[in-house]
Amino acid sequence: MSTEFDNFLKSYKESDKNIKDIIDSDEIGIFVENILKDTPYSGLKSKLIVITSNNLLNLISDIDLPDKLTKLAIDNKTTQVLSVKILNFVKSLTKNPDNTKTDFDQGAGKPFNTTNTPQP
Amino acid sequence: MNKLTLNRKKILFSALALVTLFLPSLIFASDVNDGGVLSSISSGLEKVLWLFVNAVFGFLVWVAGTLLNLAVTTFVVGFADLYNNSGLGFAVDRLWEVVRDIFNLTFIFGLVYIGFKMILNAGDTDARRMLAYIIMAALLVNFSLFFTKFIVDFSNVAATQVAQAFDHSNPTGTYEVSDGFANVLGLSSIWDDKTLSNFTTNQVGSGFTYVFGTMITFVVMAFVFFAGAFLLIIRFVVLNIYMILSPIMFLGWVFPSMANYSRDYWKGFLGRAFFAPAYLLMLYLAFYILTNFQNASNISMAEIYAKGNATSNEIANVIAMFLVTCVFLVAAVVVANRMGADGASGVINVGRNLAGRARRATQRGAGNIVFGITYPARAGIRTAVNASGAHSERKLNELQTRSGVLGTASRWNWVDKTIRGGAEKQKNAELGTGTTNQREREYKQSTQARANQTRGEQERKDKFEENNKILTDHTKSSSSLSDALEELGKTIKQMTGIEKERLGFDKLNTQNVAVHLSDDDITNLEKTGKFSSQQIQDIKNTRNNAFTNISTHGNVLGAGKDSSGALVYAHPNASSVDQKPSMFTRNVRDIGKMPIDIFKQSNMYDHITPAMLEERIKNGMSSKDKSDVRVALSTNLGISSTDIPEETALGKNNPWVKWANGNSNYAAQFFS
Repeated sequence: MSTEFDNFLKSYKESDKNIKDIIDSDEIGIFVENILKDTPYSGLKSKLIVITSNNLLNLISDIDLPDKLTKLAIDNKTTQVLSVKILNFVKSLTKNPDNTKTDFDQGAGKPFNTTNTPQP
Repeated sequence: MNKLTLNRKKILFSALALVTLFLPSLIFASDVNDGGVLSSISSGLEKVLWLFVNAVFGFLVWVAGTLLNLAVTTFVVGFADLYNNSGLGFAVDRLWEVVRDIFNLTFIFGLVYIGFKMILNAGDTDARRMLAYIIMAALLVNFSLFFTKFIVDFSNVAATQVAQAFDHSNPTGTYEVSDGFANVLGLSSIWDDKTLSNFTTNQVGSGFTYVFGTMITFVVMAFVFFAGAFLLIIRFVVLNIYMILSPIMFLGWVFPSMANYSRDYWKGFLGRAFFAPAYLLMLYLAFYILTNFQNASNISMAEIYAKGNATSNEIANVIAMFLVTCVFLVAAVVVANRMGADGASGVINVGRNLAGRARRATQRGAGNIVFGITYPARAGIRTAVNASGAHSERKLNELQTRSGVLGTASRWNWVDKTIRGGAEKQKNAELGTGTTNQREREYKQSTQARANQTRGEQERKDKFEENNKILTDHTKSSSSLSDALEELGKTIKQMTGIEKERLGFDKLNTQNVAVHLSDDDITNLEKTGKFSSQQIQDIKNTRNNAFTNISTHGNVLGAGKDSSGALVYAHPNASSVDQKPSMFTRNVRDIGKMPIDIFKQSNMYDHITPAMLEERIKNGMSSKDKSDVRVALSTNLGISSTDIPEETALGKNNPWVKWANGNSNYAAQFFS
């Protein structure tokens, strides 16, 4: 039976180089350290690193993330805050480089034409 | 060519005259009979004419023949004796030395001239070609007399061989070339009393035929013998002069404008030298043909002249033989001259061809010699010029860093381009050496590096053998074994891929060696194609066994267990040898690929670092293995296997504490 550790290594091996580089670095650790700085949960750093990296590897879904935090006895309010921060962080890490264009780049501020004319 | 045509005309004219003289005589012999008066007048006139012809032309033939015999015997066959014993040779040798010395002086001037030319322009091909010629000439001029003597001797020996073919049974040793002709033509019988009485008592007019026929024969023979004799005597004199002036034969090599003199020398000299054998050969051809011709006809010239009632066949034979004799005799002189000249031209052409080859070879050699001789000077100048260029460039760079007028001016594009361009040219100047200081430096470095590499390879090979030998020596102490194992490991790590490949499968497949091979090493061995897949796998297995042995027994020296389960080492002093430290001196990436069992040994954590363990996790570790590893680590750290290394228990500087409380994802996963 596969454990969380086995799944982690398996997902790590199957992930692309960008994800591997993030896992190999201390980027997640530093992020976790920052978000726990003003909370009474700094002792959960290691646990939060695991949750964050597992979310990055899709081993923990975005929906399940708050439950995982709650199980660590983190209060609801902090859970919500941490969940949002973690999800945003993971999103920023996994953002496709081709989808990094801003709204302005996509046509905001340009004269209307056939391609960007607002439809009723 | 004109001369030859003229001679041919002369020969034709003589032949026609002879035929004309013969024909009336034959008519008279058959048709005229005046009853005695005419006969007595004719007889008296014939006798007077005979006496005149015999006295004058016969004497001329005798003188010419004797002179020819003398010329052949003394000036051809006896050339060497006359040269060596008469003092002539001494005089020729001394005079040749004077001429040779004069030529050597010209060669020295020529060398100086070429030297200047080469210094001013080292790549001048004309100068190099001239140098080749002058070297050849300077060498060969000292052998010029030898060459001429050799050729003269050769021609004389050839002539002697031909002369011996004539009758030379004379006890005085004289080569009687002319006597042979006299015999074959029956000239001796001309003076025979019987023959004379025959023609005086024969029909009217027959005596005239005899007298005129004899006269013409005498004239032709006298001419040929005289010509031959004089030409041979002249040849002797001229050859001596050629010997004295023999250095001229190489004059044209040194001074191309004087090539005509050398060519004329060779042509004249060879023509003269080979005139003697050519002339005698032609005479011998005539003699041989006449001898056989006469044998076939069975009648002598004298008998024909004297015989009034000769048959038409006999007359035809005699006329033919007479004509052939005259043609051959005259041709002997003409053709011999021609053969000498043509032969000389041929020899000159061959000689020129050989000289060309020798010149080209010498030119190459001379080029190399000149290149070699002048190389140190050019290399010295090039070194100085290159160094000057590099110095100028450095000074310019320094100047350009300064402020002030000079610094500003030195940064102007025009100034920079001019000075840097000049410096660059100096730096890269080869001056005919084919190299520069920079290239020489690089080459020297590469040579040194190659030498160092070879020396290093040899040293490593020696160390490898030496340490392997120590490991099998049961008299060695444990410290010696430890040192040998450590040295062996260092040596193998220092070896290049090729060196490792050269060790061969048998050595690579021992634990002593395999334990020091990295994954890259094994991959490279595989890539060489010199090892089968099975052999590569065997090496990998051996290496893993070695790791296991080190982790469990401390070393790879053949540890095993006896029946009671106690460890037994193949080497008596191996038990205290610990290879564990050396096992972890390799890079983290390689350690991360070591067998998992190593990480399950608690004592290995005296050497394993968090980075090594992290690397091992990346390469794969089951949750079961992780538990075992964590137990081993905890045991080594003296904490519970469920505890995370903490500062309070292990101190804040403990690497495992730092790892566990740091930002590593792997540490978080490992301890979770």
